[in-house]
Amino acid sequence: MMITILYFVYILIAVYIGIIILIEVFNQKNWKNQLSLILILIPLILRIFQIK
Amino acid sequence: MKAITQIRPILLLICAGVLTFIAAKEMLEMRKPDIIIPSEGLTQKRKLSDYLNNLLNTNGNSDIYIFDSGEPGANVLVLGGTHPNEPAGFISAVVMTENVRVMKGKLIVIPQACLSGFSTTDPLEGSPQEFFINSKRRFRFGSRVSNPIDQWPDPLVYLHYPSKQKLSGFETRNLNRAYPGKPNGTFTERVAYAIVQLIKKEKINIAFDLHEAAPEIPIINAIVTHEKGKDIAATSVFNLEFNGFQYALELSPTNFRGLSHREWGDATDVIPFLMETSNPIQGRLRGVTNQNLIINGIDKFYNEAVQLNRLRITYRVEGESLAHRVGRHLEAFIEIINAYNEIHPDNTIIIENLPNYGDLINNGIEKFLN
Amino acid sequence: MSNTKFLFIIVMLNIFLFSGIYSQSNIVFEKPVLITSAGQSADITLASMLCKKINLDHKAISTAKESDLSGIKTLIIVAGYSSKGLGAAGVSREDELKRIKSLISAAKNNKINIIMMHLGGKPRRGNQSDEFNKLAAEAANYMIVVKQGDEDKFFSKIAENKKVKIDLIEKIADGVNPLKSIFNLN
Repeated sequence: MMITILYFVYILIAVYIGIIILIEVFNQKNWKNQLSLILILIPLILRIFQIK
Repeated sequence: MKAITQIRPILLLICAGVLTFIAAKEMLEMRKPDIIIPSEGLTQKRKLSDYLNNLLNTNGNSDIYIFDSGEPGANVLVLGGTHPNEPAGFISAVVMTENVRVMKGKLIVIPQACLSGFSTTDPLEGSPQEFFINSKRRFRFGSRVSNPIDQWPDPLVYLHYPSKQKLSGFETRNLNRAYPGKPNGTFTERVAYAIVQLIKKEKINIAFDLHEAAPEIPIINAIVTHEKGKDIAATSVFNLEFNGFQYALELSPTNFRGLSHREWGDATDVIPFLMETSNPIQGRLRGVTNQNLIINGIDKFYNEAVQLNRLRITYRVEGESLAHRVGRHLEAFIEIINAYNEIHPDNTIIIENLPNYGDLINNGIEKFLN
Repeated sequence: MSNTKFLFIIVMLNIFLFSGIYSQSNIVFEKPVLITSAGQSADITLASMLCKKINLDHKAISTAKESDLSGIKTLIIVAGYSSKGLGAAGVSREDELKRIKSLISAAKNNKINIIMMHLGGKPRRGNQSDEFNKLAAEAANYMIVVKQGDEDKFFSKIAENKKVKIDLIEKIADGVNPLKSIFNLN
């Protein structure tokens, strides 16, 4: 892929949001909220690793 | 209870990991290239990076198949796969690549113009990732636009270069809105630019861009051409009609920028033609979205819509099979070439061994794949 | 009754009985010819090609205005809507309808005969096209229509109501025959 500065910035943003979600998964007590956060995490991981 | 609360996030993360692994494995399957086996008539195989160096080692570096007779004559370019979710365009170009012999002039085929788009599908469409012709030949069914892995993020508003026409930001990855392109622009603009450079450097006389659209779209079973090509298009519409194929003739609007039929004609000497067939898998009324719909083109909801007769839909109740759609493209291609040759007797192209509509319907596409 | 009287009565009877048919086909279509579009479909190119095939000199102006009628004896309106065409012409649907209405009015005032051609078949029918189709058909002295576009007798009914002749052709290319006939180019 062609990496532009903006692309790199967006990947960093994705990583940052991913870390926040990960922390929040452990902070949340309600299993439904934890599940929702997990579901959001999956596409972020796929984008960070340049799969989708 | 406290133990469950502590273990649960870890368990959920493990589940997420497993799901991510499964999804990733499926998605990476789409990176496997399609196999195209050119005919003996092939004289050279090139890459798009030969026309723009910075496409080297990228997902935009499409294969280019050249069939040069060695005899001076017309130079023709055929693009398939500008929109990888329009299989008839792609497969028509594959059938050409795997069969033609050029006796005069030169034919250049790019079966996967938007190569990047073949490595992903459009989100929320539920599309299959691939389809098989005769269970042996596997072809990818991709996205309408370049993979966001290759070009991200999309702007809110896409400003076309150089006209500054505004379109939805999503269109920034649409190759057929990116012409004439820019050598140092976005990924898709670079692919567009390389194709325009090819047209200039190879001195292409006529160029084809093969497409499909949903049955409810007004521009269906149509030939769209730049004003340079209207006489050729009109002659071929007459001749196609004589052979039992109805085609609408549309002239390229001068105020809708970025499309091949406008920009190729404005930026170069080429006479461009864009052809559309009716593709139910792109339609909004469709039911089950699977390989069957790509190959057989039969959908019960489109059938129902035709019976109700409330919408203008181009859909045959026997289905819009891939063989039918590819056949239409090849028939129109043949007639446009014939019309061009008639009008330019001093600069003709002679192409042999290309199957026509009848050949494809009677024998199936598989007969014409190597 | 003498033979001469008898013959006279037969001839007069024929003229009386068949005058309805003869009165319409008695319209003389003359050059110069102007071809225009109603709806901006590219079918005007097909009509122009048909005229070229029979060596019928003409001007084809898809956005013809009243001023283009100067010196014209026959106006051919090629009906059919195209969103791409309207976009290319840079006009709105309303502008196009206005243009056609004033062109038809000017043609009528200058006693210019109008031929309507509908060559696009089913794809040039439907809600969007039919407003243009109706406008052109109701103004026409004569119609040439590809059969597929008249499956619901849309044009035939207008022809019947207006008592004008309509030629239904199988294919676009068949349009040369009625054109040759009405312009006396056989």
